[in-house]
Amino acid sequence: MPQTPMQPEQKLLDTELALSQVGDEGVLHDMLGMLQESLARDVPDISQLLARGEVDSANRLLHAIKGFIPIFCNAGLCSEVERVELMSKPPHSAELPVAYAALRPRLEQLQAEVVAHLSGSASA
Amino acid sequence: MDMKRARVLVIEDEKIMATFLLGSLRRLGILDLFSFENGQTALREISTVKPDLIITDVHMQPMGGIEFLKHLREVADERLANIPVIFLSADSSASTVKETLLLGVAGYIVKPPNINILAARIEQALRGYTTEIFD
Repeated sequence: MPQTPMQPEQKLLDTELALSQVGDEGVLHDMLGMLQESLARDVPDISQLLARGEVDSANRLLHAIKGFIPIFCNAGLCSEVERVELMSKPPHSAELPVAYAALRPRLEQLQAEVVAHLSGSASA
Repeated sequence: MDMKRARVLVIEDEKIMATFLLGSLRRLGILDLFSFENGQTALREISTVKPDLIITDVHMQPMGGIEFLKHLREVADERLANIPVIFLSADSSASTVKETLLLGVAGYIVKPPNINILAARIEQALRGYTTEIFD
């Protein structure tokens, strides 16, 4: 039986879009560093907060991500974040932990792309 | 007032958004900038900074933008009390937008701000324009 070829994952970080919005490569570089730090800290924190039932605290972190992610990413990921953030608002959706568990790998992929971009620009 | 001569105070607790907003303001030629991380600190420093315009986030700890604006409007110095305020938030819910507009703000921008919309709102605010709400 022929195997279906693996599709390459769609790239989430759109540096052209980001540069068009930020307007300065140096500022964008600084912001990508902040984005990397924020995702490294907040993405696992949200899972822990949800596991402890601290949904309002998880909402604050998701709300911040929702605000800045359109600077860096295409509309697809922005919509996913917006949908999960909405579920974290009162009245909290019972589906929130499952929805965030599905979103988390995408945010981790974004973080990995940011790290790769910063490493590439540092070695260039 | 020429936008490029305005002193603008930014109140934003999220580092990425604060950097983006301050960068956008610089791109618009606004260089006289002050920035604080929450409404409480901004309120304490407002009489020293004396800005021409304030751009503030809505949700912050320990004091958010709405509470900040309510306190600002009660300041004895009439010039400070009437500084135009633009809200900037990822919260586009009708209830939050209505609550801020009822306080007499110069604008409400959804994050992240588009630079052209930001420029238009700043020009309106410095001309004394106040956003109104109609039910």
